[in-house]
Amino acid sequence: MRALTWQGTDKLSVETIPDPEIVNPRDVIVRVTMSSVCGSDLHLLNGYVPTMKPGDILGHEFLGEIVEVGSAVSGLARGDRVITVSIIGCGHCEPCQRQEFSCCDNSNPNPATTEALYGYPCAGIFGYSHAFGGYAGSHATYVRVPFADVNVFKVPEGVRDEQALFVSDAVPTGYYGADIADIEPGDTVAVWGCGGVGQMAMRSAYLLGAERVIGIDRFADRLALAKDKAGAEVLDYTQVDVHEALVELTGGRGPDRCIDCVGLEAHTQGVEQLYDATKQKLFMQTERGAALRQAIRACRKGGTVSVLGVYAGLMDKFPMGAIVNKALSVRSGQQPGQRYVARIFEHIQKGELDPSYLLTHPMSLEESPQGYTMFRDKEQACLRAVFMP
Amino acid sequence: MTDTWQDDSLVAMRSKPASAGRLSGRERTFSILGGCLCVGLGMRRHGIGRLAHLVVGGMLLSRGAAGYCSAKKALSANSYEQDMADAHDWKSAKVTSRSVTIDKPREEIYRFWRDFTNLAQFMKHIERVDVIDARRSHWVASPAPGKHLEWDAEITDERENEYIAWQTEENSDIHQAGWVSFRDAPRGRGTVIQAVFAYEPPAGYAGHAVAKLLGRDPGTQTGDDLRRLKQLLEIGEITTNAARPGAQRGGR
Repeated sequence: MRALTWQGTDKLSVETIPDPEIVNPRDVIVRVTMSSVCGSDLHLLNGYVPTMKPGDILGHEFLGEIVEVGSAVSGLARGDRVITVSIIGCGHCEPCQRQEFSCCDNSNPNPATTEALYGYPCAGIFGYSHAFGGYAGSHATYVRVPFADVNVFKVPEGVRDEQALFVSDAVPTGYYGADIADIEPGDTVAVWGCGGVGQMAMRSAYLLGAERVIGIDRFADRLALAKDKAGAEVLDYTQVDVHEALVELTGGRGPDRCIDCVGLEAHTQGVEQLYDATKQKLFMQTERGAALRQAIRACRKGGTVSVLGVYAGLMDKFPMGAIVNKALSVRSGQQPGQRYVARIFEHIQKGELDPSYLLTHPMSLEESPQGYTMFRDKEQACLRAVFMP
Repeated sequence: MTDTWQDDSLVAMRSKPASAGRLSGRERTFSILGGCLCVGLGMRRHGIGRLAHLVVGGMLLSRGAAGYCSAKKALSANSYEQDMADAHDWKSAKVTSRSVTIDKPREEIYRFWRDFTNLAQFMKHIERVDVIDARRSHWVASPAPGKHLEWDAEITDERENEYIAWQTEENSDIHQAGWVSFRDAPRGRGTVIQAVFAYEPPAGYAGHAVAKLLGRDPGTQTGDDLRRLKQLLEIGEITTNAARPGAQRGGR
């Protein structure tokens, strides 16, 4: 089969490699029909997440057709049109039983790295470095999916391919971020980052009861989509002082819920950008935390900061004082999409949510290295390049 | 070795006696003399060589003056290990302990473990265990590619659904002992399994430290084995990222 492989920092190539096969009884093999880039892949590409090895296949958001079914899988059959949640749950451990699938105890076959870094091993993720399990990703003709009875979902009638695809990751991530923000009726929700996940977080915030949603970014095309498609008010941080603007927009109270959809490669302006970028280059910190710092400072007293952006290690100048003295709640996590898929499909069927506009650039798998370059450099208003193997 | 599985043994297993790291009179004298020599040699040099000599000399002097060495403490036995070495008449003992919580009833896990033929399913370096009789078993291991070890072990103590203790038989080439305990986790959260493994390190404490650095010490291996047992019992299979049978990528 053909697959997009990581060969080194900023080096991708499409290679021919052997097809995957069923290994364990709860596996299925999916023939991939659509596989999307994700902002989190850029951290792998740019070399901010260690434990990548040459030959690793990228991609964790995909739609496909089941071509082979393991002996212990029930409820799924060859020919089913399915999506797979990108963070792998086993379905039986204590976290999975509590529906906290992204905290699965059993799905990471390489537990040593995350155990050393974070204290306990984290769940496996498709195509997301050996620290997160070393699973082959979905930018390929076929992908092996473990624990299919828990992680694979049939796409219901009436949901189109380009809608269903993003129920793998972008939609449940945004939905989860809005859910853990504990939005109450009348709340104002501010969202940092208007990429795919940010767009979904804004839409989800409305679905979960927000009165107003404010999106923050610097790219005109993304701000325009946040306004037109997600129905948000927007702020361009290169044009206005975000903190002052948020205070003013909320009558001096501040946004009730703040959602960070940016992560460790945050971009800001002036001295803070220079400081963070320099320290990160010198390996004196792993994260550039401008967006998260701003969210914490802007959040109203007693409010919630929900962190969806990818962070890998240690951040400098973390404003703990603001969290304590304003009594903030900080919530975070990788998405436990298995919990939300059915609900999200319902929203799509009712026309309350349509993620298909994220797909700006369909292309062949052979063109995928160029697709990533375009997505990384945010050229041609690219929100998601989607490969069709 | 009765009741070694009581809770307080965990503290004994992980704490060093107050005397650990303390230097003898002769060690202090050598440390101070060595420090003086190093400082003296350093004064005859210039630049980075002088600095290096002064730093090392200073460290030796302060080590001798304080009569205490943290490196010696790190390489010394804890009280549990001393007891273990005395009890088995070993030169020294290294003891490791690991725990895991498995969401299955205690009786079920005990039954699975007590049938020693099952152990090779999740113990990576064990190829096969043959049960000889109610107390004795024969173990076949490949601790590294191409290496082969066999020994006989006997159960020294057991309590149904609670505890199994074992040791290698006296005429074995390797000297090991251990116990595994099974307890209910709080509020129906499954079973806590603690596996303690003691052995006479063939290359002493320094050898154990090197193995630990390489992730090949018994503690790391026991932890990995317990995780595989959890996978096997909770989800019915051992997790793998292999794209094809037998093609696991990365990991220990």
